[in-house]
This record gives sequence, structure tokens and C-alpha cells, in this order.
Amino acid sequence: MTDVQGHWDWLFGRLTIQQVPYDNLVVGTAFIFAAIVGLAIVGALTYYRWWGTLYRDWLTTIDHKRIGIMYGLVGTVMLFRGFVDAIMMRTQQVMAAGPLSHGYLGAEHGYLPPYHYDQIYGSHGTIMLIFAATPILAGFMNYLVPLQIGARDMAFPYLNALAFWMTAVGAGLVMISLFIGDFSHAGWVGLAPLTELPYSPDVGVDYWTWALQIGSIGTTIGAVNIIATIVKMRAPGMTWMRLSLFTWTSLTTNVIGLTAFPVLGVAIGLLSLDRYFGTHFYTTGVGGNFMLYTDLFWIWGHPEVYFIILPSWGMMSEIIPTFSQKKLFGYPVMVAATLSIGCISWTVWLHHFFTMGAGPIVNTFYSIATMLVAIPTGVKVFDWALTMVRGRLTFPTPMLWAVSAIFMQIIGGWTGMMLAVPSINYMTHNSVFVIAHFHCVVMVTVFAAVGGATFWFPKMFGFTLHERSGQWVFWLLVGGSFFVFTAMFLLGLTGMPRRLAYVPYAGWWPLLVIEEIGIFVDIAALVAFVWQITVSIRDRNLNRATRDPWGTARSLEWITHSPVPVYNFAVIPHVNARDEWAWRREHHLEHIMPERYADIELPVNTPVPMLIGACTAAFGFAMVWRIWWLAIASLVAIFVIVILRSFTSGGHTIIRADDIRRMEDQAMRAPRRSSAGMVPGAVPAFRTGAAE
Amino acid sequence: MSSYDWGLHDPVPGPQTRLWDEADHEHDLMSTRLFGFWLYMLSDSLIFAALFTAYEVLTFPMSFAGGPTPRDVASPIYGYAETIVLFTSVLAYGMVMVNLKKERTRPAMAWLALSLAIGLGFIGMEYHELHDVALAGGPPQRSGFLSIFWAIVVVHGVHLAIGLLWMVVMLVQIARQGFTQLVTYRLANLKVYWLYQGLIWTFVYTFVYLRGSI
Amino acid sequence: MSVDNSRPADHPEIAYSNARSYIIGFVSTVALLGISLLLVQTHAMSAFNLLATISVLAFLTTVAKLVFLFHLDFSETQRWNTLTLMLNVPLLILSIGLTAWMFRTLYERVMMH
Repeated sequence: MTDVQGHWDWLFGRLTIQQVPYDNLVVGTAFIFAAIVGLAIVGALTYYRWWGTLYRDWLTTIDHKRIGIMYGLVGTVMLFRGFVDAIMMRTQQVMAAGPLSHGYLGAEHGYLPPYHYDQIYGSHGTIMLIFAATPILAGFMNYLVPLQIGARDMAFPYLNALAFWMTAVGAGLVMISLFIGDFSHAGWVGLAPLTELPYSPDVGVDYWTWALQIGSIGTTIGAVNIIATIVKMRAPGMTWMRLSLFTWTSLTTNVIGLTAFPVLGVAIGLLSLDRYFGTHFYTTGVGGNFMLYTDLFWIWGHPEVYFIILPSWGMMSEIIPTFSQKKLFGYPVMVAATLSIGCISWTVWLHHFFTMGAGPIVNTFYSIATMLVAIPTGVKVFDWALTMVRGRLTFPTPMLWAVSAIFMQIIGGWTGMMLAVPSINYMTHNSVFVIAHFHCVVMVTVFAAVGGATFWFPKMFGFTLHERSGQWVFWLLVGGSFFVFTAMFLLGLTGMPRRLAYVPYAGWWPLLVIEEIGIFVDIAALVAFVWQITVSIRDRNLNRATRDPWGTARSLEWITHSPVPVYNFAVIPHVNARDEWAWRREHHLEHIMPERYADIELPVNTPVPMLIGACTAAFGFAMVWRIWWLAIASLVAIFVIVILRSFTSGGHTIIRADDIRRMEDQAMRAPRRSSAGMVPGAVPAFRTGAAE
Repeated sequence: MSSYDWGLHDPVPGPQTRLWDEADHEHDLMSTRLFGFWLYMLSDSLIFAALFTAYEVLTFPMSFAGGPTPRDVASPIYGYAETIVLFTSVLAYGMVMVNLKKERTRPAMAWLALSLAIGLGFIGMEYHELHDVALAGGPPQRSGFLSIFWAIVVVHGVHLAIGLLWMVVMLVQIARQGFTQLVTYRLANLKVYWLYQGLIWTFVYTFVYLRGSI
Repeated sequence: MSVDNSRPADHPEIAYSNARSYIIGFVSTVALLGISLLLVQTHAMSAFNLLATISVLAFLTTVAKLVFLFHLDFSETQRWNTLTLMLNVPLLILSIGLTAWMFRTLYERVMMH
């Protein structure tokens, strides 16, 4: 074990009361805000007596739909946190431009000292990519993939819950770091050797490594589950060329999740060995090589970029045909493009460090490989465009999001192609041009995810979102993003480096102001979003959804009721066409219901995944603060729980055929019936079923 | 639907069209679970790929930092003895599967215990080897090369240790439950896990032990 | 694909186990690695050829293991395992091979030898 600076004792490790930054105004404000929100949630749970249902129906659930929704919630909370980080960074830079800028709250310029600012951009990136985008997309995949392939659940429902809890624990560790100790100041990529113990002696980097490590275990487990589900659990007639595009992209993305995340585990695992055992993987002396870290990190990191973008493209490929009232143009080519992007994603990682100094042939290889990505991506853009050509276009909010995502994709893609040229890359490396580029690309994910959330919201919760406020969210967010990123591209081209707590050149100030205006427009979008949710919940009984609230939806999941009953399909559908629901609608078959129902066997809920999650959280926290006894105890506890569980067989409940008939008839008869007093999204069928 | 039609063309509904699969077919549980575990093993192979990637980078002379080189820490002869021991354990586990197929509980448990014992022997040999390396001035903190050498050998060893723990659990489960479906698929998964450790060792032996002595 | 889940030992992925192939697998892999050992210990050829040869032998050992121990083939039961493995192998080669290439180039250019 390496020695650490400062205090250590065997009981609390490095943890002391001084580690709680109660005297920091910024963190204090965040704490008060978090405390108010937390108290409000606890109060609401107590007032409405939801603790029981929270535990029984949500925390212990192994139903893929509920897990999907919980993923979405975790992701949304983290998205909010990451967004606040973004506001703080923009505000700091606009306040700290030029030598004459004032300093407040103990900072020389702006209101954040460099060390605090560095932690904020570290957590912004980590949160947005790993704990916001990834869980939100995992939530969509969890919810939709079994429905789109005609399955009752995932292949491994229990593992699914475990994967969720791992992700939640990772996110939790990042959140805890806000109030106890520090977070990593070395960026979300963990710039080696800055992350090494001598240069980062506090616990920030350890928080970052363990949050990432635990979260990535969750992603890997989830990937196993989704791949096995798609390969083995498809309904009869659901051939490969009938899978909906979102399922195809989920498959590809999870192949990446399965294969790339272990490399991240090794990359940061070796870093942890350096920090805890004093080995020399990434050190600057004694035979270490910090470029090895960069190499391993980006072997994961680039596929991870596609992990985030592919399901978004899948969602766009579902939304655009629905509101064009046409089949997706060039489906087989779209599938091929998806798979080839998945393959190419493994051969381009050096373009993140062209400036390392590898030879021109190496750089050329990676440059060409990177440019190859443009071919399948271009195919996709053309396919979406040609889907819209001569379609009966309507533009409700999901379609607005999807179409604007195409434009974002084009901007992000073009600038990506610029960066793929090594000679340009040498100029723009580590400038905010790069930041603007990859933000445009991840904005594709944001746009597609918000669009997808609006699109599938009625399927998940049984009522549609308020349309008019949704359009406000759309125009505000698109407008705000335009200001922020146009200015950022210009700043990048004029040479502004990324990660600046103090902007030395006052001439950049006007553009920084434009960025600040843009981010305030984005804040307005957030307010509009909260308003949209509030109005939608208030008016939910006016907006009850039928099976297909859009009237033009296409794929298999729209056969189910809204909200989807616990058993998904009362009878597994026999799939006849690629867009099964559209096919049935076009041939007037959509009202033909099954004649017979059979008993359905479902696995019972279990608190075990949550327990393992709790032990993992204890383990992560203990490792961060070097509380060895707690780390060992929680690790042993995890093994004991896993082994003990293997001696039980896991129970099943049976939902009887008569009850299914009753619930199906009820759902078909009165889809708009009010169900006042229910938890939003609660499924009446679930309660009845579980009681059997 | 003919077998070569992948579903590229949508059919026209007719009297033969089925909309619901009322037979409610059962999925092949065992095959799904084995496939899931296989996917995990593929994922695990990327862990070793990443470690070998690091080994590639950290075996340039600079990374020896004046300390021991691969030739000094990894003896091909001793490694070959380890190879034989590990592969024997794998073979013994094969015999577990043969007896599982014939549903013979006692021989299966005996072979499993034998596989476990030989596996323990392998861990013992590895411990002995690393102990000597550490004493001879080659702890993992000595150089970048030694860090990755230890990492590969220890990560492989930890995999084996988990496999051994799993074997103990399976011995108890066979004794208590017999060859139920759950026990059967766990034994089949453990087979994949154990064989896979042998497979990884092939690469550890070739590219760490043998290559170091070229 | 309706299946009978009641007799686990009859499942095709258990039923292919047989003692003969396990023994063949054991003998062939030990022998192949033995040849590698012999070649290395006697320095039978130049360093580069030796590395190439033991790499090929390691590959053959792997194939022997996959065929005789893992029983991978393109039958109904094993098709997906074989396919996923075949898709996985390029990733291993890419990550190790490309890294080796770029760091070799890097070290040449920064004269770290």
C-alpha cells in the first residue's frame, strides 16, 4: 500500500470532518438545494404513503420496464447535475476573461478557484457521458428491446436489476463526492500522469476511478443481457430482417458495451494499482508509460462514443418513418451501416491523440479509418432524408427533435471529418473547437433521446406529453445550443484552449458572452421542460393514450397496451412483417385479439440486486477513503450474497388466464378511463397479477 | 415462410396468417443462459487483451528501468510444468461433464474434487514462483515491466481462485440438490469458465514465458 | 423452438461431452506447447522466426482447445457461440496489434530504445 499525504486511521481511513467542504459557498448552496429536494421527495413519499410501493414495485423489481424507467430517472437526475456543471463553467469563463476580470469568493478571476473549476469540468464530462447519456439510453433499450422483439422480459431479469444498481451506485459515488471530499480534477478522460498519486494526492481521482469502474461493470452486465435477449428471445416470425432499427442499434451498441468496457476497466484498474500499490504503469519514471493510459482509455473511449450515438440513431430511425407515414428507406442498408459503424469504431482510437507523435503512416491509417466512418453515417443521413421524401409529413415534437438531430449530426459529422485530418488536428488539438464538435455529436443523442422520450412516453406511462410546451422546450434548447456552439466553434478556430479556469485573452470575451446567453436560453428550455412534465401529469386524464396514440406508429411495441401491462403481451404475437403494427393496421388486422389466453409465469421481485448494490456502494466508498476493513467486509458480503442466492431457485408467480382475459378486455374497452390517485406509470394489472 | 426468406418482403395476409402464437412456446432456458455466460467470457477476453496490450507497450527496454527482464522472471521450464498442471485440472473437469451427461453423481463429484485439488496445486505453484520473483528483486513496484508481468499473472490467478471457490460451491450443490436444471447449467458454465482459463494460460505461457526467453 | 427443459442432462450442450475428445484435447495442447518450449530452449531459429513459430503454435493450441474442449462448430447449438467468438477475435488482434504498431513507431521516433 502506498503512503498518502495527511491523516489516516484504520477506522475511518482518510475520512475526516475537514473533508466536508461546508465552508465553501458554492458547494454549500448545492448542498442546501440537494437537501431541500431530498426532503421534498421523502415528504412526498411519506405523505402519499408510497414507501411500500416504492420498495415492492420499484426498488426490488426485476421487470425490464420498471428498470428501464429507473435507468431513465437516474440518467435524468444526473443530466440535471451535469447541466448545472455546464452553467457554472460557462459563467466562470465569462467572468474570468482577461487580466482585468474581477475575482469573487476567494478566486483570483471569476468565482471558482482553478482546482474547483477543474473538478467541475471533470464531473461534467464524466456525468454527461457515463452517468447521464449511458443510463438514459440503457433505459430506452431496457424498456423497448423486449417489446420490439415480442418477449415477456429480458433473458436475465435478475442480472438486469443488478446492472441497473451498479450504474446507480456509480452515479451515487459521483454525487457523494460533491459533499464529501473532492472529485477528479483531471478531466473526464483522466489525464495521465496528472491522475497519479504524487500529482493528485487527494481522493478526487479515486472517486472518479471507482465510479467509472462500478458503472462500467453495470454496462457490461447489461450488454450481456440485451445481446442474449435479442439473439435468443425473439417471438416466432421475428427474423433478423424484421427487427426494428432501434433493436439493431441496441444490439450493435451492446456489442460495443460488452467488448469495450472491459478495456476501460483495465485502463483505470491499472491506474488504481498505481495509486494504491505504487506500481509503475503510467508513471513518468521507473519504466511506466503514460501514453499507455491514453491508448487503453481511447480503445474504450472511441467505441463508447458510438455506444452513445447508435441507439440515438435507432430512435431517429423509428420516429422519422412514423411521422412520414412511410417505411424506413433502405432498411437493409441502414442495418449494414449500423453494423459497419460498430466495426469501424474499433479502428480509429488514435485520432484522439494524433499529437502523441506516432509516425505519419500510423496517423494516416487512423485518419483514413476515421474518415471511413463518414460513409455509413452519410448513408444513414440520406436514408432518413429519403424516408421523408414524398412522405405524409407531420411535425409533432418527436419529429421536430429527430429532424433537428439530423442537422446536428451533419454539423458534428462535418467538423469530425475536419478533425480526422491530422494536419488540422495538430492545430485544433485541445482547443474548444474539439469541444464544440463533440458536443454537437452528443447533442444528437440529447435531441434523439428527448424526442424518443416524447415518442414513447405514452407507451410507458399511459398518457401523452403536453404538445405545446414540448414545442417550447424544443425551440429554446435548439436556439440555446445554436448560440453556445456556434460561438464555441469560432473560439476554437481562434485558438482558445479547452479546460481554462482563466481565459487570458480578453478579446474572446464577446464570444463567451454569446455562449453565456445561449446557456441561459438552455436554462429556459429546462424550465419549459419541467413545466411540460407538470402540465402533462396534471392533465393526464385528458390525454390517456390508446395502444398507438400517434396513429401512425409502426413497430411491434405498439401492439401492447399503454401503459404496457406487466406481462407485456397477453399472448406472444406471431410476427409477419417488418413493421408489424403498421402491417396489421394497413390490413385492418389490428383489432383481432387472441382467442385463447394461457397462464403466464413471471419471476418474482427480489431485493438481492439492491443489496449487492448497497454492498458495492460501501466497497467503492471504502476504497476511495482507504477504509480497508469496510472494503474487505463489503467484498466478502457480495460473495456471500451471490453464493447464498445460488442456493435458492428464485420464485415465480402465475397470472391466471382468466385474469389476463379480464385485464385485456378492460384495457381494450376503456383505454381513456381515469385512474386517479395512482402513482404515475403504475400499471393496474400489475397489482392484480402479483397478488395471485 | 420459406427458410431462405429473411423477412425482407412483407406478406399479404391470408387464411394461413397467424397473428398470435397461442401455443406460447417455451424458450430454451439452458441454451440462453449458456449463451449469456459465453458472452461474459468474450467480454473477459477483452480484459486479457487489454493487459496484453499493456504488456506490449511495457516490454520495451525503457520499461525494464534497469531491473529484471522477462528472461529473469519467467522460466519456460517451470511455466511448462504449470501448463501441464493446469491442463490436467481442465481435463479432470472434462470428466465431470462426461459423468454429468450420464447423470452419475458420485464420480462427477470425485472428478470435480480432483480438478479442484489440481487447480489449488497450480495456484500454489504460481504463488511459489511470484514469491521467488519478489525475493529476487522483482516486486511489481520495481519497474513498469514488472508491474504488468505481475498484473497478468495475478489477474489470471484471481480468475482461477474464483473458479476454485465456484467449484466448492458446486460440490455442495451437487451433494444437496443433485443434477437439477440449475446445477446442470452452472456446471456447464463452470466448464466454460475453467476451460477458458486454460485457454488464456496458453497465451500467458507463449507470450510471457516463452517469448521472454527468445 | 420449443424445448423440453425437464431433463437437463439431455440438453445438447451437455450431451456433446465425451472423454475421448477431452483426452485428445489435453494431449494435443500439451504436445503443441511442448514443441514451442523445445524450440525456444534450443534457440532453433532466429528470434523473429521463433516468435512467429511459437505464435502459430499458440494459435494451433487455441484451435485444438476450441474444437476438442469447447466443442465449437456450426451445429444448431453451438452456432452462436462460434459466431460471436469469430467476431470477437478481430477485436483482440486489433487492440493488441495496432497498439504494438503505434508504440513501436512512437519509440523509434522519440529514440527511447
